[in-house]
Amino acid sequence: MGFSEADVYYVARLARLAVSREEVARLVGDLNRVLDYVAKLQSLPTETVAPTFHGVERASAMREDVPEPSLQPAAVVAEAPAARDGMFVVPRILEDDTGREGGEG
Amino acid sequence: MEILDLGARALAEAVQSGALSATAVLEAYWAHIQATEPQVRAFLHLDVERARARALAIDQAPSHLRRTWPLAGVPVAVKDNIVTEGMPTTAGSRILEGWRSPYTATVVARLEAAGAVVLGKTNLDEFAMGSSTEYSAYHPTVNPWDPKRVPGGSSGGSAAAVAAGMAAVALGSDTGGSIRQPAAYCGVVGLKPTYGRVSRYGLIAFASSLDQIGPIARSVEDAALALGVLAGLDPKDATSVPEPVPDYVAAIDELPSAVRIGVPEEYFGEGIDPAVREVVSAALRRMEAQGATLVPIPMPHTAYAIAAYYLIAPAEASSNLARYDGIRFGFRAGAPDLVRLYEETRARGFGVEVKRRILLGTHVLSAGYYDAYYLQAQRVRTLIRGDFERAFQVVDVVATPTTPDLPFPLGSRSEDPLRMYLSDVFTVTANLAGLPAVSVPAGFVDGLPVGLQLIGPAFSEAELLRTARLVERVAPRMRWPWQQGREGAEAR
Repeated sequence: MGFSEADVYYVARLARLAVSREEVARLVGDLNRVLDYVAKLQSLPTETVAPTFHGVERASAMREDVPEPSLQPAAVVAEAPAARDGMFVVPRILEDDTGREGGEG
Repeated sequence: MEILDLGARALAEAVQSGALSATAVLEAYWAHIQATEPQVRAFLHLDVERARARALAIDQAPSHLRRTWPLAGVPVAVKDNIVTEGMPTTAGSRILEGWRSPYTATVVARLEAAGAVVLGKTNLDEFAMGSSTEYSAYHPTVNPWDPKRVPGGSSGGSAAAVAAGMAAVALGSDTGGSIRQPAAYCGVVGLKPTYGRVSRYGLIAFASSLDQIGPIARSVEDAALALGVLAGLDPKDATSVPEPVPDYVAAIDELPSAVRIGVPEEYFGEGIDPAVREVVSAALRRMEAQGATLVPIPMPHTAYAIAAYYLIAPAEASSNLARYDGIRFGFRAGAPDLVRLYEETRARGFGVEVKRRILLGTHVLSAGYYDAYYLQAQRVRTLIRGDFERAFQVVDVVATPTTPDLPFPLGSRSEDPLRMYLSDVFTVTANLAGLPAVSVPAGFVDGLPVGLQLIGPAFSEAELLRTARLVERVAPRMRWPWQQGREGAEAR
């Protein structure tokens, strides 16, 4: 199973993870070793085997639809890297033709 | 009797009756922590003032209330991937450095409601991904039995804290062995309960179909006491189950008379250190002499477990860790646009092992690979479950070594991810099948502890712990690291 540098860049992009050239060189080797190892699963015949998605299969839990107090917005944004007026501050994601500076979301 | 030598149950009874104050217990622990922690480095955060306030509140509570608290005054440590309001929670990662949760995990709230005194947060491999605690972004923890060796992981801080006498009980989390493997390496008892037995509300998610919280303690009795406090339905965790919670301490009062123990040859064969195998086999022979029946059983899919695990766990991790994007909590890297903010925040916030697993998980879930990898792994998971279902038709419990080896030297595996993954070869099956499993000290090789693992049917914790007590009964007597060189002291 060949996993190339281009594959690492592609997957890193999907995962929103910047990777340096040095990291990619190492990751190619590490990931190929793991992928070679897990390839042993392909030899098991499983056409008739149903997948297990949870260790203990249970019906979905239901509860009464009763409102309860939740976390206060001030407490939630207090730990954000940037917040203002009880909201998270993020870089501008839409172009603005008024020419105002970005930085509010 | 020294306070440090008392187990959790004995401590709680002394505080309940007023024979000891919670404050006296805490101060004895605090003095010991100050002398020991600089060498062991089990903690990422200690908060003695918070603990003193808690201990004082326990001492000032009406005695009729204090008598009802099963963990009255018991000093506990919490793995730092379990959130605590008022204390930092880092998950061992730079991306959460300095972050404080606005809420407390159900397990911590339950411990405190039972009278426990939380000392602080313990070290772990970043986001619980590792088997040595060397992947912590902050510092490694050492094994209290040999400071040149790892304590195991990922709950290495919790296991080391208990083994070094710095906490009577600690919480760990176990996704592929992260409670049991460090418990084995540190010579303590570590229990991974059945999937759904203990609430995960407030556990930082790693692989949600596998993760479970459980206790690490000095004895089976203390683990049983802690499990009784932790277990039960939590409306805040939809995967917790309404199964009744038995009195685990009462359940282990009697040793099992005629337990049938399944011994799978796949767990005793190739790749295991012969000295480890001999300690575990000797313990099993002594259990047989006490009335247990050893039954050879086949577990033919064991050899595929690590491969299935290292597809499923990274796939789920890649999804769970998407939330660390620099917007709502923790670290944010400066960047001119949103996508680069995400990419740089994650590049600088995550360590190398977490990156490996995110990329592996993203790859196996990506278009064109899902069926071959993730779905195939979930089908193999069914086969592994089937191995256990067949075994439990003829035996009550399955016994294996917890690990194939002894605690390894610091630095010897951290550059070789696949070799590190293979440390989990005997523990991942219980997670894949959702079953309860416990590691119990079975003996020593050259002063290093060896763990025996027992795996039982779903929700059989009471029976599992009863058999675990038999292991404890037949294991050689030991002295804890802090008792070495002291005359007349004995761990149990």
